[in-house]
Amino acid sequence: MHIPDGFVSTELSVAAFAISGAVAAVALKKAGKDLGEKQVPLLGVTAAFVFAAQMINFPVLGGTSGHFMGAVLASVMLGPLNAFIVMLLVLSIQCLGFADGGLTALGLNVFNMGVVGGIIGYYMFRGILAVSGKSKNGYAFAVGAASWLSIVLASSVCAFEIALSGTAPLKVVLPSMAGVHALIGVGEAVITVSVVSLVAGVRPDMLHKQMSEARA
Amino acid sequence: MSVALRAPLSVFLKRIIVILPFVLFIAASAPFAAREAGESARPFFGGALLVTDRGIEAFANAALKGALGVFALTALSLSTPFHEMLAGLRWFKVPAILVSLAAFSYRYMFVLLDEASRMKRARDSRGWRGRWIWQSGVVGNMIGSLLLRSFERSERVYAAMLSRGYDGSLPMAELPAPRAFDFAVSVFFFSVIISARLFLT
Repeated sequence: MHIPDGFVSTELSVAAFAISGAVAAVALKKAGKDLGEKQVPLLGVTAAFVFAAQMINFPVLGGTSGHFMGAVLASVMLGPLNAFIVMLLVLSIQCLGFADGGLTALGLNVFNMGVVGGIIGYYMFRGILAVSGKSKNGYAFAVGAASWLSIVLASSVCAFEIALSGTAPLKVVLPSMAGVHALIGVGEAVITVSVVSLVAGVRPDMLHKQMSEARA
Repeated sequence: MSVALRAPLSVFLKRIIVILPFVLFIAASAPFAAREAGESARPFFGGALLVTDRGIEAFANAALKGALGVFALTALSLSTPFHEMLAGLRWFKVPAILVSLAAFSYRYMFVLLDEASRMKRARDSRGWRGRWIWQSGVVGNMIGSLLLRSFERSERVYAAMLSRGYDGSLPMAELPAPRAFDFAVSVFFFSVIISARLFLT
């Protein structure tokens, strides 16, 4: 889902840099106010964790594999704005250090995976939680459904951006992106649910404070 | 070239080969752009696919730009130590907290990658062969353990940093002073780019 250089129009890249930059400014201000210097090791190590977790492939069908994104996991653990910062860090380092995702497309990639995947993913989680109920199963369902939705939504937004730039027609790029990611999203959901229930069992204090209130 | 990259050419090629297929895969969807009425198209695979010249142009455009982006970023990441990249970000007025965060993540990324590959090796040596999506739960438990270990590591690291006088800011490397050679190279490339834009259309 990392958009390389040259696939999106200049206007769209600039707009995405503006939006992602504005969200980053708000998120960083809030992170500085909330927990102060303790935030640096926590967010830094979480970003390193998401990076490492993305290297562990999960099986999809008959030997093919996908990899984890981790945006909803980060937002359930740390809250939406901190999850955005984590995704911002992961994507910037992947871009600058490993040439994964283009530099001119960085704003868009941060928008797709940080804003759509992390922040919108978090509010989808809260919305589903309100309906599914705060029992153990309802909670797991909300985590899983939000993870799946975050992947499908982020990949569809990515397809729209490529189509809007005139690189490829929407009727080709949207079904292929959304179709593949509908499947990868299942893996994301299974993994996020098992990670969150493992953490809830072993270290419930690590879940985002609103989350632990929701569970109580 | 490998002197300028400060890395062997084989490393450069290996890095590129990992990323490039993704770029080409996305670019490959470009030729299927909607055909306007009356536009001539070339049949491929006995007419199963119709591709217009405009479509081929769109493919070449996306593939070449994408590939150039990958080359440039790979060259940047191989030739520039990460702490100099961070000093560069500071020069571009990226907020200090973001730069310290990036420094921190980069430092622990390799620690956690090693941790992850040890876990993978342990799992595989116990005979795990995942082929289907419903086996992803195993990966979920691995990632869960990795998360717990990461968090606990961050707590230990934070305590260690506090005891060494950490006050919320990390020491940052200075950006090396630009040499005359750097200016010469920049001027040369910018003039090539600008004149190509002006005189070639």
